[in-house]
Amino acid sequence: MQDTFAILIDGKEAAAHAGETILDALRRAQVDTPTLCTHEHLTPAKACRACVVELKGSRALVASCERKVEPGMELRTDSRRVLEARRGVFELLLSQNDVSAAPALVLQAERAGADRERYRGQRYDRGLHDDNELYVRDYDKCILCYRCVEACGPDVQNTFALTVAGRGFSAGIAAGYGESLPDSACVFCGNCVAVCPTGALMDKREHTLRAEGRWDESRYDVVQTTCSYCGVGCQLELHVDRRSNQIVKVTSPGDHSITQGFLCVKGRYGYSFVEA
Amino acid sequence: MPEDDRAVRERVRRLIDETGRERTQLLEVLHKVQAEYSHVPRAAAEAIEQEMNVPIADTYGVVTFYDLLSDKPVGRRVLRICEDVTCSLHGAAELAARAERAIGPEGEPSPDGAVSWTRCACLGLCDKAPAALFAEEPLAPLSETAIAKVGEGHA
Amino acid sequence: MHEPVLLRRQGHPDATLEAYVADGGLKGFARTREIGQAATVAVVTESGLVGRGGAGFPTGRKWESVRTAAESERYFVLNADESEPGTFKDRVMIETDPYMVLEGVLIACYAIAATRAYIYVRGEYRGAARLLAAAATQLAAAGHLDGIAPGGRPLAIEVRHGGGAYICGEETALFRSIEGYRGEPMSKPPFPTVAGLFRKPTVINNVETIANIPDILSRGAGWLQRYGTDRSPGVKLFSVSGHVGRPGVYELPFGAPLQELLDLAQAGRDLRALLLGGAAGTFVFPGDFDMPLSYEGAQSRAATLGSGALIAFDQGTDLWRVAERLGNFFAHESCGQCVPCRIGTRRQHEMLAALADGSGGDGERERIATLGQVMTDASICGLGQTASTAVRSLIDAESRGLLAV
Ligand SMILES: Cc1cc2nc3c(=O)[nH]c(=O)nc-3n(C[C@H](O)[C@H](O)[C@H](O)COP(=O)(O)O)c2cc1C
Ligand code: SF4
Ligand code: SF4
Ligand code: SF4
Ligand code: FES
Repeated sequence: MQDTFAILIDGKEAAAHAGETILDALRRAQVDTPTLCTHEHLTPAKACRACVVELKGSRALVASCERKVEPGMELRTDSRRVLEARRGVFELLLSQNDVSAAPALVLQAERAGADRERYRGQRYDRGLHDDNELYVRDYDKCILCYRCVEACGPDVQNTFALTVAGRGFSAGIAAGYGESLPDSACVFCGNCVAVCPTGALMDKREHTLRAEGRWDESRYDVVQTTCSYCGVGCQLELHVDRRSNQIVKVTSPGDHSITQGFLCVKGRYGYSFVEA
Repeated sequence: MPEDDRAVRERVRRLIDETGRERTQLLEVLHKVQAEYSHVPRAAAEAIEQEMNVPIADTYGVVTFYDLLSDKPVGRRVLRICEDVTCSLHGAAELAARAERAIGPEGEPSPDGAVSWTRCACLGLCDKAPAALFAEEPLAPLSETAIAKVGEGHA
Repeated sequence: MHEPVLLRRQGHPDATLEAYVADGGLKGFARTREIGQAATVAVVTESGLVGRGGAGFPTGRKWESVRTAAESERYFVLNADESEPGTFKDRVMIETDPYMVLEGVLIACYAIAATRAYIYVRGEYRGAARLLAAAATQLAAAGHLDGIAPGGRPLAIEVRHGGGAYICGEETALFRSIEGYRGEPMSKPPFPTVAGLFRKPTVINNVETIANIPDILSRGAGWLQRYGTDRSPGVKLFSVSGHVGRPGVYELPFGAPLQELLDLAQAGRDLRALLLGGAAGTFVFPGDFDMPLSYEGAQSRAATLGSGALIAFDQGTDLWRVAERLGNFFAHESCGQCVPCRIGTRRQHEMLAALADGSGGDGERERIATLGQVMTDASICGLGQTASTAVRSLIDAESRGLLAV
């Protein structure tokens, strides 16, 4: 197979590179494609189906985040079938989930023309898991994107503290043997929190500040620094409240060559120990 | 309690010895654990992690995926009443209501732990509808009398 | 009257290896060893056999791609997970003739040079699993498994017990289950023949498909075509249940009229409708009871044979209540992996429950149809893709006035 070849996107010829996904090719061609579950540093879960496209010769639509390009592929991203499928995916999520902490999802849903009311029905009611000092889990907000499981598992952390449990509508994320995080194998690296796209996993501090109505991103400066706990050289972004001079959150840039956005407990949550 | 857990781990280790330690044997091992303890206790998942290198969370994910496995105790013998199309034409709903009266709430073991009952998907016994399994063997066609016997411990 | 072929040993005393051999068993396998792998696959291809597990894929083509695969580690999997509502023909096939099923497995394994064979039996079929395991032990003891595996080794046959999950009948979910994981389907491609069990080239066949193999080998490539139609050669097992006098499994040549099957099962003349093809099938009304039971015959009436399940409903049956049961089944059996099916099957069930209770209306009908299209188009696997097929066929029938009493 040659390394670069042509594919057809909505009737227009576009370049594609062997080994990349359809989504990669769509992005290069600047075709706006909604995505929820896929993440640049994790195995595609192909679970949300927001990114589906029509592929000539395939009966069902295909997930562009997972399917690799092949020479001569003919894709449609603007057909009625594609647009209705995507809209349906968002409408189903809106019918079940608390999306109050997922502005990106809401925006994509609006763009897809989703009607919040179409599929009214039983919503998630799973309660808040607030069982440790570092982060909380609110699975009413979870869309089961598998990112946290993959980050905790072989893709990043190799701790394997998380799993998808149950089946069907009652499938959801669980820690350990369906227990609290401290009882599970969790080492509190917070990498699951870093990849969660919906706010279902949230640092405890952010969660508390939000609950008290005191979370205000306009007040936070981002200060770049290198973590000093060990010699690896992870880059940290300290989110500092200008008024109180307190650190409210620590992240790492997703494009950093060492971290790819992932940290350990000391880098991500060390500040809470320092300040406590 | 810790003594119990140790005994469970020991027993599960032996089950793994006789079944196989590769992950592909997980479901077979879990079937045996379920048969022995009427559920898969956490201590079993601990032994599985040590012996088979399957994370505890993974075992939990698998146990909660399959209808014949459970993380919480069920009765030592389970009555599974099919509630799918053919059996529902033959009175499955009434039989389930009868089971609730005779045995108790769905999924909950009787006080002595001997039996519990649950609704289930098509059992492939539609030619003998209304169908059920009791202690994993066919009990079909299921009758009110049979349910009463199960409830009284005479089945 | 069709003289049964697959079920010809029904009513015989308990199956033993001796009785099987005395009755002409293992001749197909002997023939395979005589003509070798390539010729065996050629016979199967030429016979016109297609899979009886629902998808109808040509069996010989599957075998050929694994036989010629570059990798030497390959697997054969017998799919005995049979969990489609209303379907029990594989159980009856195994109970009737476990040795014929296993002879088919031996032939398949030899033909594709399988490293190992897995027999995945649904966990609720304890009896069938025991029969197959015992038969495999007998075959091994008698030396019939010797020299089948590559390198002249004896073939290892492992019987695996499902955990109670309909989705594990879907081939990629079944592989995950054997591997020790949650039965969550994987994307296709890659297809099993390329990357199946343990991501190795794999042939997976349904029990009924495999039961055809010994006769095809012993009687020749043209034998299957003595039965059935040009486009659907052979015979088919039908599981009949519901409002009929004699529920059970019936064997008929493809193309036999649906009414003949109903007569065999002693259905009354006052049926309201049938569900043909299982939960993922379609409702069929009396006007179509002359339908030929072949793939093309069903297709011509916008129906499907699916797994060959037929559930009959008399005049007193509330078909919306039946639809509600189907909705419940899919919601319960969705693996939960993808959004359209995980949430969609739940919403579909809620709407069907409303229709069955009389509280739903045209809004529900319209939403079910819209949702059905989303599930069909965007779901990962066949479960979500077909979860609305039967229900939509009912809505369609209603709009054509077929539900009026
Ligand atoms: C949801 C679902 C359930 C299935 N269940 C079964 C089953 O119980 N038995 C079976 O043989 N095939 C089942 N299939 C079809 C299999 O995926 C596969 O096509 C079949 O086993 C191939 O065998 P065949 O070619 O001999 O038919 C199922 C498919 C889907 C999508
Ligand atoms: S904090 Fe780290 S170890 Fe704990 S569950 Fe999340 S990813 Fe796994
Ligand atoms: S908790 Fe977050 S990361 Fe994990 S599956 Fe749910 S939405 Fe995805
Ligand atoms: S369609 Fe349903 S059963 Fe299939 S992968 Fe998606 S959620 Fe699972
Ligand atoms: S982004 Fe492709 S399936 Fe979720």
